[in-house]
Amino acid sequence: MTGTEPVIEIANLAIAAAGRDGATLVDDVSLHVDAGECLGIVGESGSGKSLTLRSVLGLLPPALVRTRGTMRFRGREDEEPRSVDPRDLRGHGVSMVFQEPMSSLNPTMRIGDLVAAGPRARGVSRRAAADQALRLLREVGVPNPEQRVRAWPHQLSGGLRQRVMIAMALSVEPRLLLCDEPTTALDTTVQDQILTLVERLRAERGLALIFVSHDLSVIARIADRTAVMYAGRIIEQGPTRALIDDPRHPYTHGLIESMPQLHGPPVRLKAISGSPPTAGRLPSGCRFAPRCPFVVDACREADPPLLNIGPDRAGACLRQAELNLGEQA
Amino acid sequence: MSDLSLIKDDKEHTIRSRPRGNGKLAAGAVIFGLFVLAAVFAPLITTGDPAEQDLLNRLASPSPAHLLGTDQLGRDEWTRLVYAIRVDLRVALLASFIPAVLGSLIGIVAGLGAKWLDTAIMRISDVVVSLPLFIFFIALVGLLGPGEGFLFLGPGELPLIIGFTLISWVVYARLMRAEVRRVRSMDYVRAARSGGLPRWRVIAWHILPNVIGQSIVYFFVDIGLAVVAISTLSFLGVGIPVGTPEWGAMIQSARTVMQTNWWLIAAPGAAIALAGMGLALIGDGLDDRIKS
Repeated sequence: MTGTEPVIEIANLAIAAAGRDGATLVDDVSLHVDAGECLGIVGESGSGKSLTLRSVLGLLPPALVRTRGTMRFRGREDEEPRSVDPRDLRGHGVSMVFQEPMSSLNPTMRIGDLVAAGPRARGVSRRAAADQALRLLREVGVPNPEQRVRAWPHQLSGGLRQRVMIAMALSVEPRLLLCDEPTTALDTTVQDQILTLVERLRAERGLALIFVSHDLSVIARIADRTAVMYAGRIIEQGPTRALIDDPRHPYTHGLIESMPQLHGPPVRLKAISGSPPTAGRLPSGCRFAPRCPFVVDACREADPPLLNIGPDRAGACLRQAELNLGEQA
Repeated sequence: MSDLSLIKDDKEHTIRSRPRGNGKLAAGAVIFGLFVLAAVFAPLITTGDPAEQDLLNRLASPSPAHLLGTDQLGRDEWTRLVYAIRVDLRVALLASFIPAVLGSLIGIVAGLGAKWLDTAIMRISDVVVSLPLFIFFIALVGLLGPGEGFLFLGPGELPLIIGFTLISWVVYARLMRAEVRRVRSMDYVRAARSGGLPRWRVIAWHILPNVIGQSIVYFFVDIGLAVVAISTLSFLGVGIPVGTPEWGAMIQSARTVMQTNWWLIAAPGAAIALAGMGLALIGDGLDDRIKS
């Protein structure tokens, strides 16, 4: 169920370190998510993907500020999109699942109280909130929820904690769920279970998702559309399948090449040479130029803008028309 | 199969085994508990009057009648030692509890409040830390006078409690400020904020329960430190007046006879050390419990 109207639209988002000459960490990021759609954001550590996600709810670390950007949100299907402040969305339409299930549950509260806290804050009675917590824990597949509501977070495994985290996120009936690498801290089989759960909840509840991960294989599985971030910018976006089959940006190409393949003849994994630039000390021209195998002199002169290249696709490579990266893959 | 079950058993064992620190906590609680019991039941285990003089029996050696002998005025040393618990622990408890509450509140405000407020509080705390403790107390007692009894407090106790409050809040304030700043950026606080919980609820449910543990731990250590400091000040003559059954004052008045009646100094000295150690053990044990 892919709606045509976006649930959320973010335009020209920029995030910088506080202070007059603070380094820009996220630069001119625009994205939208349609109702029931899953947008994947992929990129390496420091690419700005988590900051972009956190800024939706205004949860940036204290030393960082949003310097530009507008956000429009549609609370209901029949509602007009309206400009919103990040704080307005907390508990009202948007919720978030965090990366680290060990630190994202308050160790001094029982599981049932944690899940009931959201509804309680919205004025639901103690008893109704407890019932709701039980129902949510069952929905996210926590075994024996009647007993688990009495458990403390440290008594649960990482996978179970992440399920509890998801139940907490669902307790405020969101339309949009923000997932900040929710599977990264889990081992592979548990990761698979959590992804299956997220897919199921998305189908059952018609949730829109923004799913951030550094793992392209996770994104390839869960996202309808994918944005690739590098050094604070989106450098390519498009439908996930098309993006992987036919990448237009050498960085996306490099990410795909560095993914291990189960099928086909064994090949040596290719790594992208070099390391990403430090914020505040970006190279002149294209940010990826120093690491790009296809770099030409023109690349070092100006940072190429993100240009539309076909239906629902955009890329920010000077040579995206002439390079045929999909063929080479 | 058998190997697997062995591993499983082993794992269960580690999970079930009690957290470390229980030994320390228990030892500290026993020591502290004995002091409290002795103070409460003082009339039953002593002669009952720490001021009663037996002038014919001055500076007596320990005997069944006088377990620790008598001092220069013929007062029973054991009785004075036990009654001193009431004075020392009362003053030490208040001199720790009041700054613990005030300092923790101030630290939490500094950790959560506006930046100028945080800066102001921390600079004030820097000033307080730089004060030399004993000179500060001599000045304070000079200012307030030695102090009469006040409500249930004996002579000299109120200036001590005021002095400790003015100084010790700093430790709690710094501790709580650091804890609040640590916990404030934890994911579960972010999660609570992302759920749209009101600010007071995030603070009351998600921040406070995760920070106050450190204050409680330090509170117990602090009582022990206060016992030592109070008796030191009394020994120097700026605390509890000489003549009162108080460990520091007892050491002070027995100073002149320590060549012959060394136990008049050793007994209160040992009491100070033991009380301080018991409370430090409780604090240390609680700390281990919190961290495990």
